[in-house]
Order: sequence, then C-alpha cells, then structure tokens
Amino acid sequence: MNNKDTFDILHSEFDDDIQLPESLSKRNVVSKLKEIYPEKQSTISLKRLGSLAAAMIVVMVCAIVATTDFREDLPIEEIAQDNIVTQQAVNPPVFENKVEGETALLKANSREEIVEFFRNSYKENGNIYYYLSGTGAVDINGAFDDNLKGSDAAAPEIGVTTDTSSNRIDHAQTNVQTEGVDEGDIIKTDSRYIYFVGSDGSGNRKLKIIDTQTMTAVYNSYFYDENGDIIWVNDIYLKDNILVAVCAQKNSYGYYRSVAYDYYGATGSTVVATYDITDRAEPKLIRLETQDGSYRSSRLIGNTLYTVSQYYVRAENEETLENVCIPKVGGVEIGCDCIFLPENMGESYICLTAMDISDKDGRVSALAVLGSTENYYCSLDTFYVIADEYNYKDSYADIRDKTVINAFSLDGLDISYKATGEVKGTTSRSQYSLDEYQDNLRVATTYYNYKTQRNESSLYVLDENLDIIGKVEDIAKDEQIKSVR
Amino acid sequence: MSSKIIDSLVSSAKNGSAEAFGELYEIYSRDMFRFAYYYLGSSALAEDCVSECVCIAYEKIGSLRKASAFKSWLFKILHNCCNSALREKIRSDGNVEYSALTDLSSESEDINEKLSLKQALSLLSDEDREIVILHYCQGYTSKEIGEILGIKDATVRSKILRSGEKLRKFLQK
Repeated sequence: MNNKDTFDILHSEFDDDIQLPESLSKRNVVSKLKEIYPEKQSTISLKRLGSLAAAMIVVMVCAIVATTDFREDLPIEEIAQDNIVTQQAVNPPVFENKVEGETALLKANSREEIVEFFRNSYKENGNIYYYLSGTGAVDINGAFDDNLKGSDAAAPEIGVTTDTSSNRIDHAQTNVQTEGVDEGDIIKTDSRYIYFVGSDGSGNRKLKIIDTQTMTAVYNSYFYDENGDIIWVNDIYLKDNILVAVCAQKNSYGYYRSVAYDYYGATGSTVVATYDITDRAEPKLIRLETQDGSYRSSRLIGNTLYTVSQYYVRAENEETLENVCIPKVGGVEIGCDCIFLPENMGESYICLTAMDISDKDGRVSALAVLGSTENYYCSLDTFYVIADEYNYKDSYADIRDKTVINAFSLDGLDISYKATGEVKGTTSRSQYSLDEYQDNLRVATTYYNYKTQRNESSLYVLDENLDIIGKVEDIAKDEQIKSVR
Repeated sequence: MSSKIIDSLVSSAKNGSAEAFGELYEIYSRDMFRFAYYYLGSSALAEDCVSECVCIAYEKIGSLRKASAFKSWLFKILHNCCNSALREKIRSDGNVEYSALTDLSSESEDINEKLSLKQALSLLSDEDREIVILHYCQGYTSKEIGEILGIKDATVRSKILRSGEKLRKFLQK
C-alpha cells in the first residue's frame, strides 16, 4: 500500500463533523478575551476598516482555506526555506575521548571542540528560530479566584488533622515514587499549613498559605524575584522553614531568538527560588539560582535539590552562536569536563544541577548531556535520564523502538556519570516504568513488533552498570503497559 | 492564505485587537479543537486546552516575530497545553491511563473486533498520536509538524510512516 493510499484511508477515519463547542466560537472567544484582558483593548480595531472590508476579509479567508490542499505525497521533497527553519540534522560526533569503561558517552576535550561542533552544524542549516515549551496553569477548586466568596475557607480536603490534643499530628504528603525522594508539586503541607500554587486566572501563579488552625490564608500573593518581578512557579518543595519554588521563566511561550544573558523573557531558563518562610505571612527570598533550559523535572533528597532542564541551542547568527552553545548555570558555562555527548546526539542538552537548599551561600554543581530525553527516574542515589530511540533506517527490523538509559550517581552535591544501558521498547514517558531495587534497575517497556504485528511488553533487570542481567520479553501481547507499580 | 491579510491581522492583534485575534483564531479553531479532542480523547479536556491556548496566544502575541509563523506558533502552544493537561493527569493520578481520559468504557474490549479510531489512537504513544492527528487528520506537512513539535523534518517523515502503519493495522484488526 503506498503512502497516498495510507493517507486517504486514515484521513477518512477522522470525523469531519466534529462540532466546535459553543464556548469556543469566535464570538465567545473574543468576548472572553476582552473580559480577561481589558487593558489590552486598543483603539485600532478591525471595525475601523469598515464593516464591509471586514466582511470581505472573512469571506476571502474562508474561501482560501476551503480550497487549499495542505497535503503532500510522501516522501516529502525539501521545500524552499522560508524564514522559519525546523531543527536540523546533527553531525556525527567529532570527539574521540571516551570515558572509562565501555560507555556510549563521550566527553569533550575542550570548550573549543564543542563550539566547533555547533558551528559546523549551524553552517549547514542557517538561521534557527526556537520555540520554548511552557506549562499550563492549574486552578485548584477556584482557590485563587478572589471573586469567589469564602474562597479562603474553600481549602480542599487533604487529610490534615488539626487535633492538637494529641502530640502527634499527621499530615498528607506528596505521593512520591521512591520514599526519601521528594517530588515537586503544586500543593504541599506540613503539620499546620497548606501551601498551594494555583493560577490567578490571568496567566500568573500565586502562592496561598493556609493556616489550618484558623482556616484562613496568611499569605495569598505571588512569588517574587530579587527585582520584585513575578515569577511563574511550576513546583514547590517544603523543608521546615524553607520553601523552594522551581520555575520556568516568566515568559514561557513565544517565538523568539535565544539571547545569551537576558534570562527573563528571551530564553528558556529555569529558576530555583528559595524562600525563608519562618514568618508564613511574609516569605523572604533568600536565594535565586538559574540554569539554562526549560524546566523539566526535579527531586529533593535530604537537603539536596536536583533540577533538570532542557536547553536548546539556538542562535540569531554565527557570531552569537559561540555564546549560546554551552549551557550556563548562574550565568557561568558548564565546564566541558561535565558535558557528555551520547552516540545519537540531539539538538538540546539536558542540564542537571544540585544545590543544598539549607545552605543559601552554597555552590551549585552541574552537568549536561547533549541529547533530548523523554523521561526521568530518580532513586536515592542515582538519577536516570531516559531517551526513546527509533531505528528508522532499518525498515525490516521487527522491533524498532529502544530506550537508552544514562545513569548519574548522586552523592549530595556530587553528580557523576555512572553508566549507559539500553533495552528494547519505550517507557511511554512514565517515571513509573522504572524502579530500582537492591542496586538493580527494573524497566518495563512496550514496543510494537512489526513481525507479529502487535504490541508486546517486556520487563528487564539491569545491574549497576546497566547491563541486562534478567528479562522477560514479549509478554502481554496486544496490550500496552499503561501503569507500573 | 494571503500573507498580507495574516500580516495585517497579526499586526492588529499585537496592538490588542481581540477582534483581529478572533479572525486569526477562527481560521484554525476547528483544527485546534479536533487536534485536542483526538489527542486527549475527551471533548471536555479539549475545550479547556483550546481555551487556555487561546488566552496564552492572545497574551503573548507580542512576541511573535513573523506573522507567517502564526499557525505553527499557535499549535505549538496548543501542543504544550495538551501535554500539560496529560502531565497533570499523571501527577494527580499517579499513572495515566489514556482510556481514563476517553469515553471508552462503553466500547467493546474484544481485541478481535475491529478497533474504533479512539481505541486505536489510545494504543499509540503520545508523540505518535500527535503526529498521526496532525498529518492524517489535518494534512499538515512534515515541515509544519516539525515546527510545532520541535523535531527534525526527517524524523517527522519516518514517524509519519511508522505511526501511520501502526494505526492502519490497528484499525483493520
């Protein structure tokens, strides 16, 4: 069956009659935008073009859209570049230096080698523009809608006991995968207060701290940086009188160019803001750390916070390329001896940093791996960075999906590369597909078998070197792993 | 689509005109909802994601440098909103079951029966599902899909072939 037939068959499966809900009609959307952003309304509006002109535009637009055929036959020919270019092919690695042992990770010899690598890649592909991933806002029970009456009392039930007659007060905790490895969340609690992060309905996130003894909010405002600007928080951690907020930068969405030093508004950055909340009514910013790249994940083990971000190298032109091709932490480039280059290099780095949240003057340690990843799993002493790979060169292979796992040892602020391994199939981006047990790593994967034409799953056990020491393959035929515990 | 019209609408929208933004939105509104609906498997979630995407796009349109990139930019935001919705579901549920998001409970679970489109889509990975919808449902090219998802052209082409094959096989079972 050729590509066009496949396209026609599949295209016909999709229902052309899906109705747009009334709330999403143009009229309702425009009205909602005017309500939410009254300050944006300008005196220049389409009405000034004349209602006839506006009607004509709409008619023309509809006519053009209705008659445009977006389809192309596969394989798709190279289309003449307009000013937007997608991510480009990556050259084969130029570095020879391998780390000790049999690993798939190379280390750069010098900063110049990395810069040269990106220069060569850039020359082939010209200008690059960059899209930054942001995150959505979640509103919990309307807790941040100040128009709701009694919102202060509308705290959700999370099992907080306020019985002070007993000496032991239990409180709910984040449902983490591994005990001792805390995961960030938008809601945390200690024995007395509940800490929420929610949207205020207009694109910003607020912090609400509720005193469960009085059921009133002692703090209901934003997270601020050292300049008094609002920062948009993804996850928080709580430790005694310290609240740590991990954030994607303020302007998460946008079509923009990467600029080396301006981390607000122009680049993908991750910010870790530490607040002293001894006085719950007045959180005080005591530390602010930044790292290049959009926030992906974090974990807190003891007092050490590990933060993962993904940094795409994008430059306006060749001159600025050198300034941006190595990720920075706190404005300082990660040293080349902490930069790892997998065999199949991607266009982005994963940056992993460690900091002690109880030591506001402490250092931040960092390393970076050049290659995108889909999944992360953290045990008490190892951070696993997981990437799906698809073998599209060998179209006769029965199984074409594989998962490459890179392990990094965690010892407080010391992070070091440990091992690389690979297994068949993919982990479906779920951290729960991996589990460490007695120094071995168990991985559950699913893959599509082109020979048997069905989904199959496997369970692998890898040792500390990520070599496979046990496996059960090709199980649960026709099924797909959805959850693992 | 005339680029002059788009340029002028984007320009007005950047000046704050909700009506101009509405004109731009209307061109893609159905595509956006269909994408979110098939990707998330739930019309309620799709409605939320499109709604959120629209607010973000309107708010941030000042940062759009090239009017001709409006479509990819808009779908990139939508892609992010949908994936956030999925991630929040994973976080709140512990494990995400795609079928929990969809209305599959009333459909037959007999594997030997021909799968419905929804069932078939639920068997694909998130990324495969996105690519299948963008290409086979909405006819976007590998270049457009690459811009939206932030992956290489060549990778998109091979993923289109692979995920299309998978979906076709599921549907004909």
